[in-house]
Amino acid sequence: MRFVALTLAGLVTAGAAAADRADTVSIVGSSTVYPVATAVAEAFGETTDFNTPVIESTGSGGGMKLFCAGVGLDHPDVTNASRRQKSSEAETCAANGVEFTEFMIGYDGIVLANSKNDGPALDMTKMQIAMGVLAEIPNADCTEFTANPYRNWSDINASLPNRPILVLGPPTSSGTRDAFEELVIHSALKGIGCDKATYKAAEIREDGAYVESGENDTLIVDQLVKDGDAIGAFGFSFLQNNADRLKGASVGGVAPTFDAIASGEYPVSRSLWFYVKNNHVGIVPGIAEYAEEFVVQAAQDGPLTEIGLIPGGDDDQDAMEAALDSLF
Amino acid sequence: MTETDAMITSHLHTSPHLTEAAARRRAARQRGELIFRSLGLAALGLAALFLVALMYSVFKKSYNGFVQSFITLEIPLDAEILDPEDLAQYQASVGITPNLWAAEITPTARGAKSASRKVQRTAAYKKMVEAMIDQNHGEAFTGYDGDRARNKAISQTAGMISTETLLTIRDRLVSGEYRLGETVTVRALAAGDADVLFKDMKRQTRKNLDSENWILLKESIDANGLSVLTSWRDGRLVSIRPYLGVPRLDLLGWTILERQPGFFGSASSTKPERAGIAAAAQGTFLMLMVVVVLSVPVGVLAAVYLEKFAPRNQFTDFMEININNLAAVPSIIFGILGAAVIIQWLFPGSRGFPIVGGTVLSFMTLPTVIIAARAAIGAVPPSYEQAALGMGASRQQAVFQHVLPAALPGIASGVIIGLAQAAGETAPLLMVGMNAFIKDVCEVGTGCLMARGVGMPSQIYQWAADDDPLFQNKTAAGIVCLLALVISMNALATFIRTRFERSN
Repeated sequence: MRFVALTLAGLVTAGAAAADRADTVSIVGSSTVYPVATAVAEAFGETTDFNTPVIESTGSGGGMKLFCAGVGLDHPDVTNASRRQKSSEAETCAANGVEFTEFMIGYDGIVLANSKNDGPALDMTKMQIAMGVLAEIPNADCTEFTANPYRNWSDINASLPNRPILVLGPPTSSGTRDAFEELVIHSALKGIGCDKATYKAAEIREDGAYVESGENDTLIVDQLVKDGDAIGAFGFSFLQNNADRLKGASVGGVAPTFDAIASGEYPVSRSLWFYVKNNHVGIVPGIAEYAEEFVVQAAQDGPLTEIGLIPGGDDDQDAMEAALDSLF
Repeated sequence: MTETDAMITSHLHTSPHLTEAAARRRAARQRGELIFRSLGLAALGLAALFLVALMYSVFKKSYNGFVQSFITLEIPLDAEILDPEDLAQYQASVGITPNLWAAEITPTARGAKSASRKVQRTAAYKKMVEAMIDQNHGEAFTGYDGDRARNKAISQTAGMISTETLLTIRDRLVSGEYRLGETVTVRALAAGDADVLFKDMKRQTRKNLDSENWILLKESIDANGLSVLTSWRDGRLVSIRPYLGVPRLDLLGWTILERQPGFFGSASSTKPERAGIAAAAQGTFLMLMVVVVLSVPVGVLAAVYLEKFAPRNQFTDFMEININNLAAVPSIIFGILGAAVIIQWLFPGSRGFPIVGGTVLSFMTLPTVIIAARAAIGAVPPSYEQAALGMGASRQQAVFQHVLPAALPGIASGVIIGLAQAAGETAPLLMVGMNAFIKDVCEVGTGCLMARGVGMPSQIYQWAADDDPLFQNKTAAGIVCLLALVISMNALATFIRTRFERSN
């Protein structure tokens, strides 16, 4: 019985003991930024006198929720995001007294890719991709929607291969899906004059042509290699790591290459961010220095680019430097 | 066959009732039985086949997860690359008596900061390796388009040495074990990419001992503009891999590669060659401690009460049904309970603590312990208790001094099986935040129960989800560790049950 009492007592003091974490930076957020952030954190822990930050992959939205929940050691110091903070999240942050500094660290391209051996070479426009995956497709001036009749890519446009439409894409829970919808579908629909409410309401087809394929991208690659008709949608780093088995589809005539994404020429890329809680700077040691390490590493062609981060242009670098200065 | 059976059979054989139809029915019955038996055998065979296939694939992959590769290199610690004054200043700042140069140094605050950066960062040590490659193998790096491309190629070759080794050089320089200006012999840890290529080459070398030039590695840009590494062997294309940055791996002396076990000493890392299971094993151990402390006393006492003291009424029936149902509740529900009640409501800030993970696993294990303990107590012959009562013992004395000791082996094996279940559970850990990137093993005695931790299943989950294909080996190695833990716990439970129950 005494053991039980001791353990319960231990649990009761767990809240108080959270103060122990006061010397380690706590980071949450996007699963896309996670590999980049862990690489920075590892180097940071090893080349400074600070502890290695603890990073949990919670997704962009989940991270923002934890980050904006309040000030104090019960809440994380930094959150990563594969999109900019939404206004609703900014309101939550403000309501809880959370002040923050944002850093845009670079880009991640979303690529469509298929099997290197069995897949046809692809060059599609955003609209053609959208026509392939939408549940209902609009007419030319976006006044009417009809159920998607297309079964083969060549039904959409004769220039596309005569192969069945089969897209293995990210599920609704993931940041990659948000980016895919925003960068491909919304952008394509906007292009033909759909208003915001219309393109936001557009849904992805559920008749088997678009298959939600979980966050475990390894599975997608296996599927793609097995089935030459299948096309996968995922982050650029994944194509980079599996370049021996997959080939990337050009979008609007631009192939998904490192340079094309960094220059903004490749049309389907998204920005990656991290947010630092100003209220904690100076209380939890190492926050500003961690941000500095991140900024330094994100600016150069080094380990982070090998993981798939594509550094931004000069303006983006300047903005990062300015944000960093405000922390010190 | 009994006598009656024999009579019936003989009766059947001689009986005029043994018509053709009856014989057919009997044959059909016998055929049915034969089919059923062979189906059963086939099912068993299939299950065994799956098991063997699973084990084979996991164990095959895991070998590379358990070992690390080393190359012995001689590296000149060039005093041109790292300023001796910076080193001395940094040494002074961390309380180590600096080398000779220190006498002339008057540290300024700003100078000290820059010195410590130069010493602490790995850039200088990587440059030393690059200088060594340039000096010893410079002639191999020809045909590059300008110095910049050449330097990049050299730098990529130097990248085949793990950061771990660069950090070792740094720490030894700082501690004074190495001195700037001397040339040291270092057993360098090969980076994961190099590790894979080394292994490929070694396998081939065995087959083809007299030809050392059978492999050619070439960096190129493929049709999509992606940088890839292509290997040819005997003029045939053997593989194309994403660019891993080794234009000339052979320069590092691949013939003297050593492989050594290395998986248990380190925590997770973003570099596959450095990743290990230590932090996760520690987390799992701590959680199991919490489970033992929480669920064993509560579970056993609850079982004793329900089995021996509780009046049989609607309330205890209700409790009993609930306990049985709880044992079947999916584990993620307990995880959500932990996240909502413990972390969000009771103790905010306890996210990812092993004590919280352990508590959640205890909720899950408790019903198993209660059910196993009740069965063990119920199996003790009533004569034990009756004899004690007959000798004038109170009920409590009879139960605690006679029934419970006799039931202990059964209880212990139930508890261990519950623990083994808890050790392999992933879902609740993800819910309470025990899947963070943890770089350092918690130092024992510093409140590890209440510091961010990670468990073995969630560590395996993290590795499995990693983009880098090299982490698949680590995943397999982690699975082997977890399997070994769970199987040995189950074996212990079986041992206790068979060994001690008989001696009673």
